[in-house]
Amino acid sequence: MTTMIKLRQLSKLHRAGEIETTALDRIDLDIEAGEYLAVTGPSGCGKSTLLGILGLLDAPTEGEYWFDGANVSGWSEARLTHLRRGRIGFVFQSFNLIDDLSVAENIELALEYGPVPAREHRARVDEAMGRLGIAHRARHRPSQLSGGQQQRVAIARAIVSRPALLLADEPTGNLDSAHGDEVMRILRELNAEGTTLVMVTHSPMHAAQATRTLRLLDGRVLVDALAA
Amino acid sequence: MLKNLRVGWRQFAADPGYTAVVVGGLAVAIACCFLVAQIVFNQVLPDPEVPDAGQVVTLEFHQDVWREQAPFVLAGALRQAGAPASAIARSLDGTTLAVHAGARDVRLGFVFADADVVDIFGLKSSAGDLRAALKRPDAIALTGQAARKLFPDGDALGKTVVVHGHALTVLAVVPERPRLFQGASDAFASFDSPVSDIGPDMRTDWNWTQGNVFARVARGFLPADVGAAAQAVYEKGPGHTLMSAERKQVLAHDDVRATPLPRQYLHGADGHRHAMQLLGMAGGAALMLVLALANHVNLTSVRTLARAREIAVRKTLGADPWRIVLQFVLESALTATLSAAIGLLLSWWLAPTISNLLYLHLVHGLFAPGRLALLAVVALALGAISGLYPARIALGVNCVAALAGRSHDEGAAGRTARRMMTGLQFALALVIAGGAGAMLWQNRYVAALPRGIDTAGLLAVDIPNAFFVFGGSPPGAIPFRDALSHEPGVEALAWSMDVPGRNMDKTYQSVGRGAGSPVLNANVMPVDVGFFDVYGVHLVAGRPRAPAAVAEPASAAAPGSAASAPHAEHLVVLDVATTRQLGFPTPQSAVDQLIFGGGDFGKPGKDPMRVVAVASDIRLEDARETARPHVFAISLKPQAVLTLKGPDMARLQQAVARVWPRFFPDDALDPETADEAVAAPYEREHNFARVAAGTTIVALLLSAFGVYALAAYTVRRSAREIVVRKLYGAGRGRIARLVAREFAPLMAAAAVVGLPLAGWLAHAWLENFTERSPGILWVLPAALLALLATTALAALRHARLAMAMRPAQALRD
Repeated sequence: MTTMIKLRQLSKLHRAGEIETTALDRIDLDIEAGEYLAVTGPSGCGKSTLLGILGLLDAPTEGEYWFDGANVSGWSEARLTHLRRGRIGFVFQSFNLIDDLSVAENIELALEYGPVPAREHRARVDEAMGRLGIAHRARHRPSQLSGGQQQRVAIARAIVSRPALLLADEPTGNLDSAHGDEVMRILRELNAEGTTLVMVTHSPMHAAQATRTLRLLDGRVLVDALAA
Repeated sequence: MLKNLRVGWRQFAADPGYTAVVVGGLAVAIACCFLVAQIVFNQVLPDPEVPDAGQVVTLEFHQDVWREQAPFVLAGALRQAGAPASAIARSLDGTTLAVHAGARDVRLGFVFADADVVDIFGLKSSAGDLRAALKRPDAIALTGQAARKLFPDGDALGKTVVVHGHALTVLAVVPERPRLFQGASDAFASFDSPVSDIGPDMRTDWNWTQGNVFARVARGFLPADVGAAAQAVYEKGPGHTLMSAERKQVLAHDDVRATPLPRQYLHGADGHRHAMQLLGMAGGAALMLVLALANHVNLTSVRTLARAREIAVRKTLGADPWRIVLQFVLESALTATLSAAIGLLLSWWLAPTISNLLYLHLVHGLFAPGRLALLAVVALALGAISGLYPARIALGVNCVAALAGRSHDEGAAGRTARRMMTGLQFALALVIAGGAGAMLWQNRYVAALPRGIDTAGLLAVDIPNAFFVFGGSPPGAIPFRDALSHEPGVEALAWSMDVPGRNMDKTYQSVGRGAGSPVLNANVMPVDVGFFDVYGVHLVAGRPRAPAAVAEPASAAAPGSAASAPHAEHLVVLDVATTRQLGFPTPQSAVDQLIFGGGDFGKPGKDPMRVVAVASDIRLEDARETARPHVFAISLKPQAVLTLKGPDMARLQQAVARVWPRFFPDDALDPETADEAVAAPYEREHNFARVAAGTTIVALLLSAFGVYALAAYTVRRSAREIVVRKLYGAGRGRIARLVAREFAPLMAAAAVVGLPLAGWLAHAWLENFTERSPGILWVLPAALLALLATTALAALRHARLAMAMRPAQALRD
């Protein structure tokens, strides 16, 4: 297995006026391609901050971030955006679908900015909808769907460009247990197909389904252990 | 790109209130600007169908002020003098006559002109020969529309129509050329046509201006050369010879000028008024546009903050910064394009009404491809530019925070920018409201100015062909009056040269007491002895009396006119100010005294006038002119206007309608009340003020809508603060003040900037008048109160929501 992500002494500080908060404190982390990593910890420990940096949405204050062999620390937002396209997918707790777009259009949005030619968009979208079992809702707006269905749309959007890395931030946080289990099953399947999966979760049960667990506290790695 | 537009379109549909405010406001502002552009295209720029318009000139004549008309005699004099003009033509328009074709009777606006007008303006016929139609006195040319009205079944060419009993053959059909002549031009006939009734006095008098003289400058010469030739010709003529030396010195060889067509509107006679009007309208339209754009940018930037999550998703999915910018620029361009389309429809709907109200040509060329293209380009550019600020906000969205559901803060700079735009909206609304208020206030003041006459309950009838009456009495006039005097409801009747105060027909003469005494340039109006009762003129000395029939000069001409018999004594009534200016110590001392009129331009006259009465001060000039001396010359002969007095206006109108056809079967009846006639000189200004008032309402509504949306945003943003304050005991008043806090400083800043500007506008408007309303600056606090009221109303709903907010619910949310 090759190392997809390497963090070295990575720190993130938030400044608001004269107040400085350390969200991440000198993190060292390696993530292999195809790995299934669960990130846990109490509220405010830096889980979402870590996910944001891993997803190239935020830049570290100090340290290095190597993604697919390239040191992306200090890259401009435009370069990070370009790198992110088609290679990183996101699933959020609150789904983050755009209500002005239909289900199909929400999924296609992930292809609009990427290198996939427009003539292939339809087929890809249909494939993703079919896989997630939401093809019959293609023309509906997100507000017309249940929570579970919305999260499936979000997952479809995340995978339609066939990313190498999938980042999920509390993907079952707003779902009941049945829908939550359904989402977890889909994520496991994607990982089994080779997608690297990093998931932030509060649920010990869901964390246990990962092959490796990272526990954070006050911005530091408390435990980094492989699943039993 | 299409997908971005689709998102933008769906957002319109999802929030119709926001859409209505933004698109509606922009549409109104764009319509205002487009209509102002129509003035530029249709009135400032010369008619594009006139070939080489820069070589076409209008002769203008100086009579105290420059007038677009010139004495007709100049045309022949210029030809005789070999002036550098390849074509010279006289024209008279504005006459409406009844035209009969078989059983059809149609009223048409006539233009009487020399044939050379065809070469001067490049006039073309759709059928027949226009030049021939204008050369022959027994011919006529019709516009296509007029021809269809008279001959709906077939070709009008070669057919005969009857006007005033004269048969005229249709020799040409011409396309409409609405810009060319002042009045409606449905029919064209020779200047020498028998139906024109242009009498010998009008053709030969050197100071009488009732129509136009046009010329095409000869190749190799300039318009100024024609002007110089006209001045030289006038200085050799009798009109100049009659002038006093002082007046000649004042005019300094500046009696006649040749104004090229491209400069006519803004630099010719009335050019200053046109320029001020255009400047006022353009300024108002520009302010409206800035106001609407500020509203659009403000509301869109607030919406952008609410779309932070969507923007973060797009960025997360790989949208480049330029794609984000493009999205917002396109959405804004879509808004502007939609607004332009609605604005164009609004313009089309409003153009006829505003054209009639303000005497402009706004309808012609409204959908010309070039103008539509210009509108589209400008709308797209404005849309794109106004999308840049919301795009900037979008670029600043923090993805991590937004995706986690935390609201995006616009930052101090963003809040300052938004407040500045809101303040700008308030200031603009104040300036528009203050300026419009000043116009309305002055208009009201001017309408109520004491005139010394009472026009209430009077009906005025213009006698056909009485224009040219000074050589004799208009046929049918006397029996018409006699018949009316027996009609029920008619209490009294009076002749006068014009409805006093309507200011259409005036005769100015130099009047004085003799050698060595002051000479006044007075308005001499022939009237009959009943005039003073009919118009409620208050007399302070003497009594008007009719001249003995044998004593009155044989000629019915106005005293001092060319047709008047010289040195015959006329009986006159002066007003108090005139007696004072003539040097009489008291009004009573003027009664039975002799003064002398009939002079021209400052030269004392020789026509004796016996003062039989003195009236209270009379002011017939409009408020833009200085009050003049007035001399009412009592005559037994009929004049151009017959005024009826009676207790019931409807009965007066019925009486005239019954009697008129018996004496004037070929002429259209068009009576007006004396009140309407006197209001006519102010009609344009009054309409201008009404348009300005409408603009003010739109401006206040725009700023109110903007406040409504911003109040919503303020309450949403401050929800947590409101809740916490309530938890600690803040009452409803304190919460309401929280909302007001957002707008009060902006209102104060707007007042500091906007009120002085509005005051300056009001002062500039008043500069056009000699009679100025004393309390006009009161409109400024009134405008501020109006703005305060609309703002308070607009913010009220959200202030009440804030006051009613339940802490537990808000904290849970």
